[in-house]
Amino acid sequence: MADERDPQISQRYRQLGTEEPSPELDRAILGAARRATSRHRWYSSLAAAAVLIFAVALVVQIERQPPDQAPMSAPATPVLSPRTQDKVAPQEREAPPARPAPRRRVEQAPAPPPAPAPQPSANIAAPMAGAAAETRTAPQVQRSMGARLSAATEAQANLAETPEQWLERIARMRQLGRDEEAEKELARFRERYPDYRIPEAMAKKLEKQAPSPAAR
Amino acid sequence: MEAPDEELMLAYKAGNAGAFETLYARHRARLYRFVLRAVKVRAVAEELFQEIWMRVIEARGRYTPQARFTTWLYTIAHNHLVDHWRKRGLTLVALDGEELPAAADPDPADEAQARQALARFAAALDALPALQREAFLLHEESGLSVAEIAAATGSNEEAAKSRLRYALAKLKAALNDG
Repeated sequence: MADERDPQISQRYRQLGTEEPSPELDRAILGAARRATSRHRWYSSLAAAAVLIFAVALVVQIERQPPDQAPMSAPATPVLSPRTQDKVAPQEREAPPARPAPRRRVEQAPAPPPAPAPQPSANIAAPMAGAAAETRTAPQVQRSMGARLSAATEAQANLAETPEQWLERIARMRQLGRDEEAEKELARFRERYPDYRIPEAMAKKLEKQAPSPAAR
Repeated sequence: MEAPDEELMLAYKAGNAGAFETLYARHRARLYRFVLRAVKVRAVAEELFQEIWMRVIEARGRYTPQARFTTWLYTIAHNHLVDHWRKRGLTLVALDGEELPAAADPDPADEAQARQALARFAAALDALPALQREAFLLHEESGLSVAEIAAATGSNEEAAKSRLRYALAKLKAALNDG
């Protein structure tokens, strides 16, 4: 059963032609493959650095939160009081290396809308807020941080979802008629798992209702 | 001795662009014909062909040689074709057991018999249900076994075998017809 080929059919099939991709297409694909590897070299170092910077920025951010705004009891390590913080030079507070990481974060998970009424007294948001020198109150910062963390948690949850669970979720979207959403989600799934073999039973569930055959 | 595909893919994963070039050179023509015969339109085939290779490039970090590289490559190709049809509101359906559609009109010129037979064969191939044509192309063009066809298309071996046999029977009928 290893080879079902019929020599007559094979011969006739070969006579249909031996079309090949154009040289332009070859160049485009090989160029993309080369660029991907050159990107890979510095990207892995950059990614590691970005994660480290983000972690440091988060620690600094949490440590600089005023104690009265902190959700938990007094931290174990000494923290600057709000008054002391006000005296800290802005350049010391803004922790420049922290910027690339939050920006990266913003790309992954959209930030909540900007605070409507910025207050100049609480500039501690600056390291997490990107290049714009906007100021926010501590509760706003907390909300912003909360949103970021929940977005990050959601992203983590997405990553934790198995391919099967992900497909079931998309199938449910189909059942509910949320076709556009299902299409987008399926495209994301394919980006992440281009080689995942979707069982035929599941593939049927992922299709739109009332299909017209492509077989003809 | 030539390096196996799986080794080349792992080398590419590790950053060796030259390994990809070898791999690409080995599979480009067959994959291209597989896609072209599946969608039948050159412009569409070129676009899909490029996208399939882009997926390979993007997925290199997750590549593990659990099966033959060829099976992995054609799994990606199959998935991409399915997506392509789904986006156009079409779907792959199994029409096993249907009647073979009429072949192309015969060429009246006697000297064109060979061309006529080829046209009939091409028409029969085009007329195959998509899943049967895919099974045939994966076997004939890409050299996949029945088990590998099943793996690449997410079906079981019985279904893959059945599709391939239907396809071969219809093509054989087209060969013998006239």
